[in-house]
Amino acid sequence: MTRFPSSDRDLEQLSAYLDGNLSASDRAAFETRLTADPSLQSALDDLQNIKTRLGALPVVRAPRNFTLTPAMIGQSARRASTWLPALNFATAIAAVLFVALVAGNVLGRSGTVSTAAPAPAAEVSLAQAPANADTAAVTDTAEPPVALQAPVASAATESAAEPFTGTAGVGGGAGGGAPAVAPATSAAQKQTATETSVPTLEGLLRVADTPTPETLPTVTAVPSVPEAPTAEPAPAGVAPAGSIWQIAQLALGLVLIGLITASVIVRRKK
Amino acid sequence: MDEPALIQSAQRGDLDSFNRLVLEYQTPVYNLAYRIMGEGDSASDAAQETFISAYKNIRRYRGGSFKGWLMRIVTNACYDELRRRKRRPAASLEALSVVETGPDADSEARLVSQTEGPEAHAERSELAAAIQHCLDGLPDDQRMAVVLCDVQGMDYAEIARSMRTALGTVKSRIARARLKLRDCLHSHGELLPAAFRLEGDPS
Repeated sequence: MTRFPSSDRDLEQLSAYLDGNLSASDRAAFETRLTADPSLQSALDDLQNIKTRLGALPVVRAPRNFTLTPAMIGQSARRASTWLPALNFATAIAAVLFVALVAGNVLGRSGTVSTAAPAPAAEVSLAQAPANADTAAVTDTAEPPVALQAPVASAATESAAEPFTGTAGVGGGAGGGAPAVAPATSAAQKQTATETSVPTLEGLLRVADTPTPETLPTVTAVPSVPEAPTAEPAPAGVAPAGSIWQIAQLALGLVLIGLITASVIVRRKK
Repeated sequence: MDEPALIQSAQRGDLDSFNRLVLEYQTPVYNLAYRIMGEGDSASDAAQETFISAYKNIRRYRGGSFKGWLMRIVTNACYDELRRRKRRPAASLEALSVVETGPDADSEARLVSQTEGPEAHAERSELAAAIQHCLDGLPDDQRMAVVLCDVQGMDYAEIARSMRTALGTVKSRIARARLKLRDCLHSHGELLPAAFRLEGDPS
């Protein structure tokens, strides 16, 4: 067996010479070495032999045809192209609904805090105070609609104290979204003041005295509400509504995540 | 076969035209995959993947040798598959067992021979099986380089592009692969018919 050059460089030069990949000067120098070194020439012959045999390897017949069917290329591409827009559309719709739901939840929660919490407070204060016949009547009529209970009750309180009762409308506005009771009340007072061209000193003093200091602490005094019989429906009616919002929000959030994931997967497959 | 017209039709999405090109070139594509992958099933997978990929990308074909373009695709498909096997060795257990037991006898039995007699055909098949066995024993990178050079006839620059490596690395891989093939075929010398033995083999 022919002894092969031990150096990697000689082996690579032999191989490159065989393939015609030496520069002119390298080629000339290598040919000089070949004539002087019979073992190098013999190694070159061996490599040439290998190259020839590899090049002469017979053709292997393909075991089957590799023609394509629409199922192999068309269907998968078509499926991706039809699903992707639908997924994108569904994702966009879900995203819009989710944002609307979150916004609605936030607004709704602040609305229920400002409307529901003062309700028992007003009623507690009414229950504690010697009840005026008019206020009791108004409070009774305002009981069933929970959302309106607070404004009507506070309006009733004010109406009991005040001759001008424009606050009922203001209270409804506050119930629509005022974040806190005190600003709502002061806003009500402001509007009341602006609506009434000439407020009396007595009226102003009563407005300043009655609602503000009592409503703020009574927001936290909700647990004591059971003492007042009219306060029971308020927490019972508000709590499920809030949890339904949260469940819907969570469900829609999960759907949105699922749709986004599906869109990414389909896009990658495409 | 009007190859340019078929290519243009295929570029417009005509699958029938593309399939006529497939029938024309499936043998060289499969053969290159077979020599690189070393066994029939992987070669079939690579060939099929090549034609699917070629159809999907045929709009990117910008002229030149269509066969050369297909050969580059099949080279890439084989190269990616070999690298994938390296990353996940469990996937190549089947291929390893084929390498250990020798070349794919079924595929070698399908050698195309139109002029040889049965005896010459048997001898040539034997030599081809021995060469494929020696090729299979090479490291993936060396096998691929030497197949692209000596079986496919690509130049070094083209091989370097296909294998995404430097020209010097290609040069080195081919040289080492040839040396190992020579040693391997010497060890098979006694089994080969006299006419196919290497110079200096034991007689």
